[in-house]
Amino acid sequence: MSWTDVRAAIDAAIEGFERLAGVSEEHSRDADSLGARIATVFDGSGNELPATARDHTASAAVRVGDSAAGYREAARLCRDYLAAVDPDGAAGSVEGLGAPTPIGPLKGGYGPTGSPVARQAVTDVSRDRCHVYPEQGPKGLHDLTMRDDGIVALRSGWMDAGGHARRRHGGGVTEEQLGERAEEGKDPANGSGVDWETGREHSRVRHATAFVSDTDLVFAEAAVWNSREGRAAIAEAEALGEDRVDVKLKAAGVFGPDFRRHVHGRTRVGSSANPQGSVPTMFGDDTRIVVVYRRYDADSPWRAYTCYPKA
Amino acid sequence: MRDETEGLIASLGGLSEALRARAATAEDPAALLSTASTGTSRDELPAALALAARAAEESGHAAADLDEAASALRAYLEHVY
Repeated sequence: MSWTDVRAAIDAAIEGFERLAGVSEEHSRDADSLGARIATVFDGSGNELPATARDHTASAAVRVGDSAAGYREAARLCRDYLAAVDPDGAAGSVEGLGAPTPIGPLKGGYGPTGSPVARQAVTDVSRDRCHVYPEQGPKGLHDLTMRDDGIVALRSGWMDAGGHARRRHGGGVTEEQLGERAEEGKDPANGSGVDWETGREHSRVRHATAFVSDTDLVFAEAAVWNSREGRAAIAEAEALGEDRVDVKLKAAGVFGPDFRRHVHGRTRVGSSANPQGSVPTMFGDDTRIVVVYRRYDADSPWRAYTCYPKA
Repeated sequence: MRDETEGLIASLGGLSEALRARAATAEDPAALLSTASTGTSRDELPAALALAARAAEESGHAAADLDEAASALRAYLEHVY
């Protein structure tokens, strides 16, 4: 089931709820009119049985009216949902999107000759097109893979401009690069001990990790942003006027129980001062996907500064 | 009066049946939505499903009310005629 099928099912449900609401309103009027007929026919009879019948009919009219209101509200909630996750009805696609525009200063670009040039953050033009992938749960990754019409490249470009997620943790980062990072402190972004982002010495990490593909990375970031935890963290940071927020989600929640197929890494053996090689990273059940969002100030948009699997 | 009462009983029965049939139909859009909402991290679709379930339940209660109304009129007929 892809988003196209999901959207069609929700549209059909809305139509069904509206139809049921209409029929319920009609039935409520019918019950009212039967109650009125009972009142007219037995007017002045003095017998309590017709009065009982009238009360039950009135109760039925109210209940059916409530039922109609419930169906209308259900339809409205479905429409609200679609407005939130698929506002222009083109979810998942890059079709018709405008070009991103640069924001903020040039950053990064340090390292030996040939290192990737400095980056400049850009506006995120495709965010609203990708909620629907994580909205399908882990199955959404398959939908993203099957229907990718350029959205992975667009979102990868947005991440490259706003941080180093793909350069250090993307699908192009090899086992060898991860091993060199864990053992020798080499930044996968430029292959040297100079931190591509800061120009300082690149810090050594015990676990150097990455996603298996850029599609995995794009899906993971979208899942974190779209999650309850992600939305709450961003809202809280905005309320507090903060310009950085770290959000962590369980990898099993993002990719499903087979999340290890989507991540890999090298773990250093020995201390950073005396490395003894590296071994494949063991990703435990508690593995998290971490995204660090940053913005330049309260008026500038959030960007994904980094995104990685944390063993 | 007797004919009119019998007519009312028939109408109440008809409406009750229609409500029960509708409550059964109500599961169709809810089933569609249930399938579509798997994996969602938002509140709207589960809330819509809960409302639809309550609406179908209310229809069932309304049908029972109409049955009670018809019974009362039947009892009236037995009592008077």
